[in-house]
Amino acid sequence: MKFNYTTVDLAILAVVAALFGAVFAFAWTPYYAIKAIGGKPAAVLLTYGIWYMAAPLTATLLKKPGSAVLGETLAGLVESLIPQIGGSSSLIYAFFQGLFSEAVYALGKYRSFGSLQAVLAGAVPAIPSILLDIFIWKSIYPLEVFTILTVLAMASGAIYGFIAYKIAERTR
Amino acid sequence: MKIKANPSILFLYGLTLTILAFTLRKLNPLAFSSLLNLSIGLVLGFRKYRFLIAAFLLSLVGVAVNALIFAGGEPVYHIGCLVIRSGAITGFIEVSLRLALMFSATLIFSSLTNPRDLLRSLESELGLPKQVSFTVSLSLRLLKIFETDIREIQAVRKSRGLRTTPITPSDWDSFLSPLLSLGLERGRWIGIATELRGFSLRKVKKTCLKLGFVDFLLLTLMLIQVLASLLF
Amino acid sequence: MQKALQVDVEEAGYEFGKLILRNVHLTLEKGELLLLLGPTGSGKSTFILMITGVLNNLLYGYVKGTVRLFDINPLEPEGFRQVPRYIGVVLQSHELQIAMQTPLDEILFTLENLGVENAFEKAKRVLDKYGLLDKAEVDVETLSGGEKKRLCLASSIVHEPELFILDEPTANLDPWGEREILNYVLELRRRGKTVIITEHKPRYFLKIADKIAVIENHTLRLGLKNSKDFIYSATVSLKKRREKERREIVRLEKVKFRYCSECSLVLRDTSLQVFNGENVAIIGPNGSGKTTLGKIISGLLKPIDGEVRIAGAVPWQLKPRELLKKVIYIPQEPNYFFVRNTVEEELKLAAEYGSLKLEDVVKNLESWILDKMNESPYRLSYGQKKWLTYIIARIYGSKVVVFDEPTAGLDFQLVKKFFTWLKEEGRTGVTSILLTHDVRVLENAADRVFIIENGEVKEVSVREGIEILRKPVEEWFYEN
Repeated sequence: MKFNYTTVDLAILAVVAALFGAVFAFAWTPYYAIKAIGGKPAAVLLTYGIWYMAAPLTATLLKKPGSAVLGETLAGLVESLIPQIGGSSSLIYAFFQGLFSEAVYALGKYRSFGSLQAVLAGAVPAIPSILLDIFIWKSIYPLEVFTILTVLAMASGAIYGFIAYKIAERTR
Repeated sequence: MKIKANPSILFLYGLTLTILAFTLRKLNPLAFSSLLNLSIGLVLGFRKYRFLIAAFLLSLVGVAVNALIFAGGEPVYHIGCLVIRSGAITGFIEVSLRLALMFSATLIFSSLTNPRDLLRSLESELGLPKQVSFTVSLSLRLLKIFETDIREIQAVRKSRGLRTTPITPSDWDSFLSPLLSLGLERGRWIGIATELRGFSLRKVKKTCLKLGFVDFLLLTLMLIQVLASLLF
Repeated sequence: MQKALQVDVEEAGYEFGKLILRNVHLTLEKGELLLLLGPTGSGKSTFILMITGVLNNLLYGYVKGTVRLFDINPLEPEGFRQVPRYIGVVLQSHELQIAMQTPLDEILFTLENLGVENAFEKAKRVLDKYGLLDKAEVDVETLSGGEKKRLCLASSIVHEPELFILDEPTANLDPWGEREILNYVLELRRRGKTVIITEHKPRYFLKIADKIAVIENHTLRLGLKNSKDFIYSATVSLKKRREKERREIVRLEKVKFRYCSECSLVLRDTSLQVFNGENVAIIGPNGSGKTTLGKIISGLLKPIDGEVRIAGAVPWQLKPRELLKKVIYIPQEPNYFFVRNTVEEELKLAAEYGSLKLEDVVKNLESWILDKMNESPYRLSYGQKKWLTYIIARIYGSKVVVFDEPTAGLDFQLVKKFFTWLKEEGRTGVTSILLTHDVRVLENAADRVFIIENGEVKEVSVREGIEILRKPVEEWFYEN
């Protein structure tokens, strides 16, 4: 498949990046709200997947190689340019998350951009995401906690990956 | 006195600090980088980013709470029925230093430059492909429009008796659909309009990277910190 | 003499097998103004995309035939690359066009792309001409609607192209904005430029066009069979409907509103009274506060001072279910209104609130909706989306319905249908509040008219309201 991005494709990348840039900034509220009521596991399950959504969404919309990693990385870049307490960390998380999502589509030789791929592409970014968390938080949380978080985050990612597929198909 | 620094260098510096926040292993270089940059950041950004600084301090409270609950080690203090373990103290310090290092990256970058200047600098001085600079520029433009969309959608959801803040995946589904629908229509036409305004012909003249005193200072600091992280 | 445009196309479309246009033959001389008419969805935009080479070069569509634009062939990749030098484009909304963050960047963008010399000076000159020089480096989103439109106009002429394409340029404009477009078009004509305008509100452009074409049944036909096809002629009904009992349903007294503590007052000392069953139009230029007023009446915004009563209750004190029984707000942009994944689910949700059974609702629906029950509302056409929002509102059964620019973007068939709809609603006792700058609403539906000026609301007679809305453009024609 040709790696050929038209200006319309670039504009759609920008749309997804801006959409998630706005949504990410806003998603912290439900995260903290759910955490306060249901604890961190509930918060992770219900919201972490949102941060992995840009990749399967972009891939389902554009159906071109590179769209998953580009969509997720750009969304992370936009989020990191808005002054917030994480510095450029959003960019770093997004890049690795995007790479893992891209791998899902690459392993299928980019032949299919369906719901199964979207679910997997939503779930696998949990791995680099929690791994990066370990770098920062390992002196506080024991390894078991990270394992549980990874499972919860993958489940969350799978759910939101599926939703990404649905809304892309619904609005194309 | 306005400090002039090259936006690309600032961005690289901020990115380096953020990477160091993940990779620094030993406490001494971590403490050095973190406290040095936090001081610089606070001096530069204290007035403009008061709320952000408050939010950061609040997040440290969260770190402390988590440290008390999860961290291991020998009990060191007892305050009433609260047991403070040694692991909680070292854990709190270490994580806080890492978060502070990341936060200082934001303070330094945002106080001295802005995304628009950064994109111009990256495109003309560092040869960033026009596709990337255009896409990032456009997404910053669309960001504000989406914020308006979100407000409108929340108003309608409220009037139709639904949650204005999405909690469940199904909420997110119904929340994101209109945003995406509107966004895609805009994207399609902006893409067409951009092509019709000659985007494929675009060749930005490259200028030499102009570095000033502050830039060299930053580059030196960057080098010192990276070396410290590798050696100590 | 070289022709501006020569089109001889057998077939064109976005996908093989799904043709949109067929047998399109057109010649346009330099300096001519072509007005292209046709209902929404007929292919006017496709025509534009075809002649600029976008359809087959950018959107993976196909074109069987030839197109010549001055001395280039836009269907070929090499020709397509040169198209930007020849054309300036103005689309229906700034949101579909402005790509950069500041006016200066936006103007410079085209100049830099085309490698124009002295780009900076040229940019500043054109910004000055359009009154945007002092806002050259501010964020585009802080500009008013009118300023954003002027930015689009400025951006289209800065590189001095020969052909101008305006795609429904008056779509979101009030009569004052329409006047600016007319001035812009006049200026282009004075300079001998070639202009193509697509519209479905052609009332004013008909007078200045050299050629008129209609896209109908997938093909282009020159000339107009019947001008009445496209002008919804005014049937002014000034008779006030006699109500058996006149009950007050909406009351605002000395309402004040501002969006934030540092913002200026949008509404100061606003008072009005509406009676049940009335169709009340609230008019004013874009940005005057109509939407804000509409949202306050609907309980979505709370004023900082003053009293609001809808059917006797204070709207923001009510629970959603109770509020919906009294009032509903229909936004101008229908996409904001949907909260479910299929048309059926939308209707079901409304039926639950309105305490109706879905089966009863379905009985009275038009066939096109029944066909689309399992479709996503986002896949409907613009007109269908807007119509769906009206149906949903009717199912909710609110006593007061606030319509924000209900006729914007609808072609004349749907506009006619809407006025009939309003009459029916009025008969069942529903009060309609119409926030609008469309004179046709006053000519065909409004019983009473209020105008917002400087944050205050004043009632005027329907006739006066029509005068106010007609004046800007009629004066323009008188002057020119």
